[in-house]
Formats: sequence, C-alpha cells, structure tokens
Amino acid sequence: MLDHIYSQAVEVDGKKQDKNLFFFSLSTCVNCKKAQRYLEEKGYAYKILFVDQLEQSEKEQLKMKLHSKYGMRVAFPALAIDDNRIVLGFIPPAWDEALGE
Amino acid sequence: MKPLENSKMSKKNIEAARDFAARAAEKQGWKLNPDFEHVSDVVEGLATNFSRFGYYLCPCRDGGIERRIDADITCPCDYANADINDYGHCYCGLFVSPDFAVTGKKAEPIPERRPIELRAPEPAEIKTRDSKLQAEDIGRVLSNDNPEIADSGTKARIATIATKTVSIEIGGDLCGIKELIRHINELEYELKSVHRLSLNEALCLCCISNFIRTPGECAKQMGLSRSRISRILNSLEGKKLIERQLMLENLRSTELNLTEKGADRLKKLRMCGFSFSKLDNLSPAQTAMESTG
Repeated sequence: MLDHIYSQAVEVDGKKQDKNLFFFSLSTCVNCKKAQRYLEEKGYAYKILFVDQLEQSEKEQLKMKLHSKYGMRVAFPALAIDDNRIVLGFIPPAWDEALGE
Repeated sequence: MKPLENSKMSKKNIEAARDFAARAAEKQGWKLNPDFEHVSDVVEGLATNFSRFGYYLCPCRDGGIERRIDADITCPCDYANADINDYGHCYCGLFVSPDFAVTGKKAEPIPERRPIELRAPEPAEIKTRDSKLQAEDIGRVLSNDNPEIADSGTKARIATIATKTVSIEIGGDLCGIKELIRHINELEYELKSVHRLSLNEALCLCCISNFIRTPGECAKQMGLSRSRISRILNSLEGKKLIERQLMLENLRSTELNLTEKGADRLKKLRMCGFSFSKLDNLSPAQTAMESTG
C-alpha cells in the first residue's frame, strides 16, 4: 500500500548486508546526519528515505502506518531493523545494542 | 521526491538564519553552540525550512502542516529552556547554556521532550465564534452517506467519528462538548493533512461550485464576516483552486470561479466520503444543471 512511498528511498551500499535497515531521516536534521555518518562508518548497507521531502499526504500515510505497526509515534532519525523493530532518535549506545555491535 | 533543497540554499538565506539564531540566543540569555560545524548544519536546516514554510521550523523535527500547529517547535522552541537547563543544550544543539559553552563538550542527541500527542498534532481548538456553525456542518457531513468511496481509510474514520458523535448527548454537558470538539478537530486534521484544506476552505469551494459566485453571498451562506471570507478566498486563490474575476456589470464586485484544480479537489473530497448537504440542497435546479452540464 505504501510502495510508492518506500520506492522513493535511496539505497546505500555497504559491506554489512545481513540486516535489512530502513532509515527514516529528515534532510535538515543534524542528528539524522550524524546517524547516517554512523551507519556509513560502520559499513552498513541501508535504505534512506527523507521524510520531510515527501508530499504532506504521503508523510501522513507513512506516519500513520509506522504508528500502527510499531505502536509509537515516530521521531527522527528512526531506524527500522529487519522490518520488525524500530529505534527512535540517535543515541549511539542504543544503536550499537540494536544492531548487535 | 523533490530535489535536495540544501545544496541550492542561497548564502543570503543562510546568513539571515544565522543572524536570527544569534539574536534569539542573545535575547534568551543563551549562547550559540561553540561547535561551528554543528551550528552551520543546524542553521542550514533552519534556512531550508524557512524557505519551505516561511517560518523557522525546528530542523530536527517534522512539521510543516501549518504555522499555528508548529508554534511550539518553531525556533527557539518551547522546549529549549527546559532542555538547556537539563542537558546544557537544546534538542538540535543550536543553543547552549553559557556554562555548557565553556566546557567544550559536544552536543549529544537528547530525548524528545515534545509531548507525544503533539507529534501528530490535532489542530488548535476552533474559535468559539464559528464553532456552532462548524459543529452543525460536521454533523451534517457525517450523517450523509456517500456510496462512492475512493479512500476507505478516511471513510472508516468518518464512520467512527460519526457513531461517536451521534452517541454524545450534548445539552449543557461540557464533557460532551469537549468530546465533540475533539472529534471535530480530528476530522479537520484529516481534511488539512490529506486534502490540504481547512473546513472553511472546503465549504467555500462547495459554495462556489453551487453557483454562489460573489464573496458576499459566500459570507452569508457560511455565516462568516466579509473580512473572514476574504482571507479564506485569498488562501484558496493562493492555492490556485479558485479564480476571481471582476464582474462586467458591476466593477466593484468580483465573480468567483473554481479552477480545474479546485473542481478536482472538491471531487476528491466527495469521493473520500465528505459531503455538503445544506450547500448542495440550496437550489436543486442549479445543482441539477451543474451535474448534467
């Protein structure tokens, strides 16, 4: 249903490909940039979607979907791991733990 | 996806944003973060948001529906003071306390203090002056069943709100009124986020499609003042949904017409289950004419 939104994500290549990482970012956000740098330094392959560049209606659909799926309102940056859990906000130790670093 | 706006952000806008941040810090007794690179990133984000929305929406938060909804996360945000007290810097790390500035520490990401219910905001409460009319209209919108449904999600939400609203017995019960306002707000939020129209704008579009062609008539039908209507029409015109033309027989009056985009938007609204019973029944002959023509 949200394929037209997910298809707008950009794929970034990396050595570590065992996890399916989907990164919801804001193009204006400093912490999102830091989080992106973190993923790149660790060498993960991931997909990145700049949520603030979506149309308003798409953004609402996406937020509603994430809310119903994970039971929490999304904040940025948000990293969905293997389509079954989501980490909100960039706190390096939390990301280490979630990614099994 | 729209092209990256950051790269083409003009130097002038960035300087204006930096200047704004410096003045805000001074006024509040904070300091700009000594980490120059960090501040540059935030300032660039602020400038981007300013050019998108016309106000300095916090670059680390999502918003952009409407200025009044984003008021608490417009820089400097309502949460900056508390965060600066607790962590030494604000949510995005633009402002720091004077004490934090001298430590040379870097701003780390901190938890979001904005209450969870605001992150998917309900629109601010509707002004009392119009609430009666709007409540009645919503009731009518909700009671009307429209078989042509394009968006089942909206339809389902309208149905839920309808059953909730019908079951509320109002009278003088303030709790009931509060409940009703909440449901109205939910629906208006739906209108605003999905269709990008306020309730009044939607009603105004419908007026015009039903051959109410002058601002004065629109004002009368909707029970609003001329100046209020004029602002709504300005906004619709800005969105290129309507056109204003001077009337030939009376140059002091304007004639309102839906643009193709406006007609299309109204059609979509109807397909999503919104309807306009009172306005559509104004003059059956004219409405019939419209549907056949």
